[in-house]
Amino acid sequence: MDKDKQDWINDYFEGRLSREQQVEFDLLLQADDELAGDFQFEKEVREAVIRQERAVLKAQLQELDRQPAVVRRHFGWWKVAAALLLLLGLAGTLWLTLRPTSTGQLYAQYMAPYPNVLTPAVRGAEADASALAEALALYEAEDYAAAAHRLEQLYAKSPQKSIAFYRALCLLYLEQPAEALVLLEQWEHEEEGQPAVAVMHWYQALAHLQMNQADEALRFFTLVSQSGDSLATPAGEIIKILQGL
Amino acid sequence: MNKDQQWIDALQKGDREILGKIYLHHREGFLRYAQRYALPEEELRDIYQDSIIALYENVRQGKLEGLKSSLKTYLYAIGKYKILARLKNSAVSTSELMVEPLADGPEPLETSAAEERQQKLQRAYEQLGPRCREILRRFYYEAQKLEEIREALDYPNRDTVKAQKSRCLKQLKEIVHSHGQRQAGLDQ
Repeated sequence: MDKDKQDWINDYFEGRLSREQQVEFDLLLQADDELAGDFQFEKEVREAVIRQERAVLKAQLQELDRQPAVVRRHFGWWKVAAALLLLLGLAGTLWLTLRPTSTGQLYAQYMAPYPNVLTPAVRGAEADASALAEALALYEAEDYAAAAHRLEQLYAKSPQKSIAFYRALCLLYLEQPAEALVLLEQWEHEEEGQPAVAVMHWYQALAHLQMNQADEALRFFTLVSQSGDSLATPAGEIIKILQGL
Repeated sequence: MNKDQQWIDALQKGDREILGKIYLHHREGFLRYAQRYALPEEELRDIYQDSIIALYENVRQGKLEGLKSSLKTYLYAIGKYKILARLKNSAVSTSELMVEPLADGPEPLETSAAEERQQKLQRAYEQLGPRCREILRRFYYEAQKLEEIREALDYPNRDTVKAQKSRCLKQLKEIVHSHGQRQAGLDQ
C-alpha cells in the first residue's frame, strides 16, 4: 500500500526514510503544496515543543538553585563516629565492671545505634525527604521493625547506600544479622556522603558477634583497628577480649 | 551496577527527580571546575543547566548506551563545549542557545514573524490536554517512534497513535488560529 502524506511526514521525523525515499519525499514536497505546508507546520511544532520542554526543565533546575542549600553536615559520616564513641563510652564503663564472657555479651555491650545524620540534612522539598525523616524518627525511637519496613520501601524507590545502612542497623536490632550483613557488604570504597568503610566493618563485626562467629568478628574488628578511624581504639579493646574468650 | 548506570537507567525511564539529583550532585564541582573560564558565575550556572538538559536529552534518545566514561566526565565535556561556544560567540543570547537545533532539525528561525509564530505555538502547546502534550512531547522532544509511544501509553496499535497525533496537531492549529482571530479582534 502506498504511503499517505502523514506517513511520509511521520517517517521523516522517525528517521526511517532511506536515501532513495528522502529524494522521493523532497520531490513530493515540491509538487504538493498541502504536503509541504503540513510538513513545515510540523517542523515548527517540533521546534515549539522542544523549546517549551527545555524551558520547563530549565525552570525546574533554576527552582533547585532557589531552594535553600542542602544543609551539609560538614563533619561528615566519619566524624559522626565520635558521637558513636560517646555511646560506646557507656559500654566501656560497663566492661570495666562486668567483663563479657561471650560473643553475645560483647555484642550487647558494644552495639549502639549509629546517630541519624540524614535528617534534617536532607532537602525538605524532596518528595521522599519527609518519608525518610519519618523512617529515621522511628529508628531513633527504637521502633526498629517499623523503621526497617519504611526504609525498605524507601530503598525500593531510591536505592541509596545510606538508607540501606540504617536498615541494616534496624535488622541487627531485630536479630536478623545475616540479612544485615547482606546490606553492609555493599561498602567496598569510600564515597562522599556515605558512612566510612571502617564503620561498616564495625557493624559487620557486631553482626558476626550476634551470630556467635568469633573468628569472623575478629577479622572485621582487626580491619577497624587498622583503619585509623576513631573506632580503632574500641576495636582494639574488643580484639583483646575476643582473644581471651 | 554502579551509581552512574543506575542514574542513566532512571533517566532513560524519564525520571526527572533523578535529573534533579544529578544536577545537585555535580553542580558545585562543575562550577568550581568552570571558574577557570572567564565567564560570570550566573552564566556558568546557566551553561550547567543547559548541559544537564543536553545530558537528559541524550540519555532519553539512547545516545549514552554503553557509555565508557563516568557520567561526571561526560557532563563536564558537554559543559566545556558549551562554555567554549559561549566564549566564541558571547553575543548570542541565552534564549537562542536554548534552542540549539537537533542534528537534522529545523533551521534557526530568524525573522521576527517566525519568532512570533513560535511563541504562539508554544503557548498553544501548553493549552493542549495532557494526553496530547504527552504524545507530542514523546514524538518531537524525545524522538520516540509511534510504536514506542503505543507501547508506553498502551494504545492498541500504531495507527491509533498516528490518528491521535493528527488530532492533537489539528487542535494545536485551531488554538493558534483562535488566538490569531482574538488578537485581530482586539487590534480592530
